[in-house]
Amino acid sequence: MKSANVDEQVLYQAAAGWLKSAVDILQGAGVEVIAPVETDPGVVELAAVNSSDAVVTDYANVRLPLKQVFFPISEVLLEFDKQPDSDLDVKSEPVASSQEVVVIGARPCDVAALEALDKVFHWDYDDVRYSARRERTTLVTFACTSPDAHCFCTSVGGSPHNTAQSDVLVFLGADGQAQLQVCRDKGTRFIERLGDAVKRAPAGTTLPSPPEVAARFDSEKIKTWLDENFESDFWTDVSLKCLGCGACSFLCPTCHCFDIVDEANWRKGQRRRNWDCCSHPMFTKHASGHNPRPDQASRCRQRVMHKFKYFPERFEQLACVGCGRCTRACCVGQNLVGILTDIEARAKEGNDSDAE
Amino acid sequence: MPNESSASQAQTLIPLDYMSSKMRIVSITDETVDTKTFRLEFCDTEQGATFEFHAGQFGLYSVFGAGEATFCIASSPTEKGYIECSVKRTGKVTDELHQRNVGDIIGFRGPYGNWFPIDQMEGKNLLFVAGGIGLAPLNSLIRNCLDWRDRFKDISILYGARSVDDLVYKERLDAWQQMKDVHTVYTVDPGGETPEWKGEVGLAPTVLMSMKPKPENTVVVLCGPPIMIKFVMESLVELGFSRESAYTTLENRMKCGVGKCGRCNVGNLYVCKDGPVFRCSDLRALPKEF
Amino acid sequence: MNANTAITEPLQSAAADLLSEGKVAVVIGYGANGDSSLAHPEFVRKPEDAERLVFDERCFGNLAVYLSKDSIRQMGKIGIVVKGCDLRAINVLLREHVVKREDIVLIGVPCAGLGDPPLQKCSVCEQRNPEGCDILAGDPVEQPQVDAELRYKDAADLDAKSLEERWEYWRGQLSKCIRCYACRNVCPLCYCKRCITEKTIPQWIESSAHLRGNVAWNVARAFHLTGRCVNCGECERACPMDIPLGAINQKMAQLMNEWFDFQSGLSSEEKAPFTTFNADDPETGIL
Repeated sequence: MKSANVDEQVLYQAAAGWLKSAVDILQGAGVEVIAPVETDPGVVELAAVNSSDAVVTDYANVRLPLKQVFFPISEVLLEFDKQPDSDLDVKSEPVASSQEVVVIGARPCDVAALEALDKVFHWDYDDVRYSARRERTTLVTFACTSPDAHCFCTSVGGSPHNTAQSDVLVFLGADGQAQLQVCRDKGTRFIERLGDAVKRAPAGTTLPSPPEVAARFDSEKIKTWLDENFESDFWTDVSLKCLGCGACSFLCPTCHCFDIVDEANWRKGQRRRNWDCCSHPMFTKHASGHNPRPDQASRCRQRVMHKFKYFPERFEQLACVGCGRCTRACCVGQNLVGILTDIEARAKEGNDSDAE
Repeated sequence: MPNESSASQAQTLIPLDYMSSKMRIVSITDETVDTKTFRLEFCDTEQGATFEFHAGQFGLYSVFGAGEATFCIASSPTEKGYIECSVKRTGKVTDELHQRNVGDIIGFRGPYGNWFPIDQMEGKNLLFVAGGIGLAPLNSLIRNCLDWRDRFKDISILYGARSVDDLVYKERLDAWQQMKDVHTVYTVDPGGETPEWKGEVGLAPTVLMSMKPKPENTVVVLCGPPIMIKFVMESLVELGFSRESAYTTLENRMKCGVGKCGRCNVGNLYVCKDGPVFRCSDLRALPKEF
Repeated sequence: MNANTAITEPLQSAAADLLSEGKVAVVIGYGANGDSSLAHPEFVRKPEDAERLVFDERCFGNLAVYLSKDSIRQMGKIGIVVKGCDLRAINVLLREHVVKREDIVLIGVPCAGLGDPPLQKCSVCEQRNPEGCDILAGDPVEQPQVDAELRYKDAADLDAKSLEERWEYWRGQLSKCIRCYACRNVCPLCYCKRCITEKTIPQWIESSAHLRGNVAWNVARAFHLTGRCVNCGECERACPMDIPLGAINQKMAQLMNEWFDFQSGLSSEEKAPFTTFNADDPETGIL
C-alpha cells in the first residue's frame, strides 16, 4: 500500500505519550507487551516490558529478529520421565497459553519475514506451537525512518513502509506523536483498546514518504543465473573466506532450519527443537559418514540458492527480506548484496556474450 | 480488511506437535551383525487399531533420552496390529535402539512422506531389485503386493548383498522362494558365497541381465546403495525399460520429517515431502550434490 | 578510511613478487571491502591481483584461522599477512604442528592499532612490530611500554566483584548465547575437525541454547584454550550477541601468567604449560 493514498478509514493519530498509554492499557488488560529495550550499550532487543519506561524508539533494528517470538531459539517439545516401578511417562509440552501478546516496535522487514515462515510452518502440517503464538500475537510495527547502508529491502520486494503481516503500521513523529495505519483486523482491536489515546486522522492526512533505499539488484536476473550455475567456480571463490559459523542464519529473519535433540539424565529428560544452520559442516552429514555438502563452497551455494531460487520455486516468494543482518554480523565481512550484485553482473555478461 | 490467518486459506492442515507415540517392542530379530528388525505395537491400543499407512512411508523412531532417527516402515500396511522397522547400528540413536530389549518402550511418530503408487501398479508385472539393507523399504511393498497377489501379474524379486551374512529377512526370502507365483533370484557378490549357498553369485546388474526381464507392462522398484541403483538402471535401460516406469526410495539426513527443518532439502525438493519414493526419471533433475 | 599507504604499497609489491616468483600459491591478506567498517580477507593467486591488498585500521581479522582449512592448504604454499597478534596465533599453530614453518611465508605488517578509536587490546599490545617474519612490509612503528597489569584489566574488574555478583554477571551474559559458534569458527586455535559439541556418544556438551548448555559450552571452550589462547580478541568481535568473551580469555591468560609465568604465542619454540611437564610445576589449579 503506498503511504500517500491510504484509505482514511484506517488512519489514526496519537499525541505524545500514546506509547506509555498503550503499554499501560495493555498491561492492565493482562496482555503481554514485547517492545524494544536497550539491553547492551547501543544494542536494542525485543523483550517483555512492564512499563513503557524502558522502551526505546530511536534505533535502526533489533539485534535478534522477530522470528524468535514465534520460533524460539530453543523450545521443549516433550518431556519424559521414567520413575522406578512405573511406566515411562511421555508428555507433550503445552502449547503457548492463550494469553494475548502485542509486539510493538518490530520493523517492517522482520514482520514481512513471517510470510516465509508461515509458509513453512503451515506446509501440510500445522506446527501447533508456532501457530498458537501467531494467533495470539498482534503486530504493531514501527515504520523505518533511518535505513543504513546494509539495508536492501527494496531489492527483495519490501520497503521501509511495508505493511505485509503487520496489524498496525506506526509512523513515529519527531516529538513522540504518531500516525497509526491499521492494516488488519487485529489492528482495529488494538486501536479500540487505546481508546482516547488515539483518534481518527482528519481527512486529507498524508503519511510521510518512505526513506530512500535504492534497489541494488534484480532478483529475477539472479534467479536466472542461479538456475544455470549450480557448478561454478563462483561458489568456491565466495566460500573461501566463509568460516561456516551460524551467525548469518541465526540472525536472519527468514532462516528456519532446526534440529531436534533429546537431553536427559538417567530418568528424566526433554526433547527440544533448536535453531540450526545449513552452513554448519555436520548439517547434512549422514550416519554412514557420507556428506552431500562436504565443503564450504557447497554450503555457501546452498544458502544463496535456497533463499533466491529453491524457496521461491517452492513457495513463490523469496526467503530474504533485505534486513542486512547477515552482512552486519559476518565477522569476515561477507556481504550478501555484494555477492548478489556479482551474480547479476555475471548474468549480464552471460547475456551479452550470448548475443554475439 | 484481510484476514490475518494464512492457515485458513490453505487446505485443512494436520496439527503437528512432534509428539511421539509410545511403542512396545514385541520382538527383535537379528538380521546381520549390525542390523536388527524390531516389531512394535502401540501402547495405546486404540491408536494401534486405527493406525494406517502406505508402503514406502517412513517414521521418526526414537529412544527417549537419545533422540529420533528416520526409518521406513518395513512391514506391510496389510499386516494389522504392529509395525516393523529394520535398523542398522551406525550412531547414537541406533546404538541405543540396539541395546533395547523385548518389552521396552520406544517412540514413533508418522507415517510421513509419499508412498509407492501401488494402485498404478495393479494389472502389471512387477520387478523388485534390492541390494543389502535396501530390501527394508521394499520389504513393505513386496509384502503388501503379495497380500494382494491377484491384483498383479508376474512378480519377480532380485535381491543381492555383499555376502550371505549381509542378506536380510532370510526367513522371508525362503518363504518367497517357496511361493509358486513369485520368481525369486538371490545373489551374493563374488567371494561372498558360502559352501551351502544355493543362489547366484555375481553383482546385481550382471545377474539382472541374465534374468532377461521383459519391459512390457512392467513396473520396476529398486532400492539399494546409490552405485547399485545407477548400474542396475543402466542395465534396465539396455533391456528396454524406461526410467519413467522405475521407482526408487531415497534417504537423506532428516529431522522433522515434515518439510520444516530444512535438513533433507535438495534443490527445491524435500526428501521427506516429495519423497522418499521417487520416479527414477525424476532423479536426474536433482542437483548433483545429492 | 584510507589505506595506510606506507604499508599497503610495500605489502602489495611483496605479495606480487612472491606470486610471480612462484614462491607461494596464494597470498592471504586484507581487501578493502568497499567502504565497509571491516576489511575482508582476500585470497590473491595472481600477481596482478596483489593490488587488491590493503592495510589499514579496519584489518581486524586474524587471518591465521585460514591456515588450518583444507580448502586453503590444498592450494599449496601460503603467504600470509600477519599483525603481531596474528603472528602469536601462528606461533601456537607451529608449536602444535598444525602448520609447518616451511609451508608458509610470513608477511609481517607493523600495526599502530586497529579501530577508531583504537581497540582496547591494541592499548596493551607489545607486538606492534611482528618478529621472525620472512618479510616486513613497511617501516616499524613505535612500540610503547605497556603496563602488564592492564593486560588483564577486564578480568581484574570482574574479580573485584563478589562471587555472587560475578555469577549474576555471567549468568546474564551467557544467557544471550545463541550457540552460533562464531567464536569457535573465527578462532585460529579452534581447529578440531569435530568439535566437542558435535560429539554425540556421549553428548558431552548439550547443544541447546539454554543457560546450562551455554555455560557448558563457554567453559569447555575456555578450558580447551587455556595456555593456548593469544587474546587476539576475535571471538569477542565475532560474537553477534556482544558477549564479553575476551574477559574469560583474559582470566585464563592471567592465571597462566601467575602460575607458570607464561604468555602464549610469543615464540613457536615455547614450552606450553599444559603440554609439558616440569618437576617444579606449581600445583595450584589442580584439584
